[in-house]
Amino acid sequence: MTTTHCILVALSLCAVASSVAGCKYAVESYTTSDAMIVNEAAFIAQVSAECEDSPSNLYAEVEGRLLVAANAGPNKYQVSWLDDFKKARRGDYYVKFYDEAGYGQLRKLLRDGESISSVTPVHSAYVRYPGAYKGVWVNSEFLAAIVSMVVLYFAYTFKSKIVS
Amino acid sequence: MVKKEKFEPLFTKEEEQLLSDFSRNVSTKSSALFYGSAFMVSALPIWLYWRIHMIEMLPALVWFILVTLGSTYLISFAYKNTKFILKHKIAIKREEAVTREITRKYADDKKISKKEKDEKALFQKNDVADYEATAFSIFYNNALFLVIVVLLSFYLLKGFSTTANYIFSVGIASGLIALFSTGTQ
Repeated sequence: MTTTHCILVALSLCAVASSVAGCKYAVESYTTSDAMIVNEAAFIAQVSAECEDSPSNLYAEVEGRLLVAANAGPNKYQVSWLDDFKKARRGDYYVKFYDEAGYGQLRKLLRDGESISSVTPVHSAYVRYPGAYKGVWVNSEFLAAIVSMVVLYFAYTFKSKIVS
Repeated sequence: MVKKEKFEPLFTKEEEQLLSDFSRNVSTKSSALFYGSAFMVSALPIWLYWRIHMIEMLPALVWFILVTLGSTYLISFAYKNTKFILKHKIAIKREEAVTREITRKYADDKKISKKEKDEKALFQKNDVADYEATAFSIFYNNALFLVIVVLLSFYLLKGFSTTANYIFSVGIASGLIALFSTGTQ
């Protein structure tokens, strides 16, 4: 009985291990590209999990920020965060995804003020932010005014030489 | 017996040349050139208001026609005045070079007298001055007109409705260049 019980526990643990280890994650990301009509840059990472027993909840850590992923459908999770355009840097944001157990460990380590590098994420990905359009550097009417005034300056100078 | 009266010309060629120099009248060819250029420059802001200021074309059509015609007249007036002022100054500056060129050209030609050479130099000088003054008058007045239109339409009259913006920008610009052209310098 005890032996059977042990075998059953071992088998179930193997099943869990194999199901978690067998999860394949794919990440699609989106970032705000136009800063003219919004105040903050949005970063979105959509995670698709391919496995028999996908985690019920997924969590993410990005640059010291802990986020809870929203369920975006069967085996789909979405992580998002906002940042001010002035503070958001261009480049790649490294996002680490954790399941329940990993998230619990993370919170414990953070609460104790310890390093979180020892916690292995279930998946990690980069979210690229190339920057957002903040408007033209020079207005076209300003440029037109400057160019026309330069031309007029030359014309006036030449006229002054003739008339003098 | 009826005597045939011989009509002698009132002025010599040089005197006629001098009279035309000091007259503000332009030749038909110059006049056509002035009106054609003035019309093109006056019509240019229509494109600006249509594509950039997004003016409604049909309601403003009457204003386009009236303002363009008025602006054409004022700009061509400015062309004529500016040309008149510049022509004499250019003629003085170009006299030496033209005389030198004519002298060099007819240096070996013994058939032409000095008086004829002087006449040729005078006509050549005036032709050069006329051409240069015409071209520069058009260039200068166009540049001034466009600067005033751009500054008025995009900055000073920005708060006006597009139709009012067009009427006042183009009207004031053409009026100003006509006014400036009446100066002596």
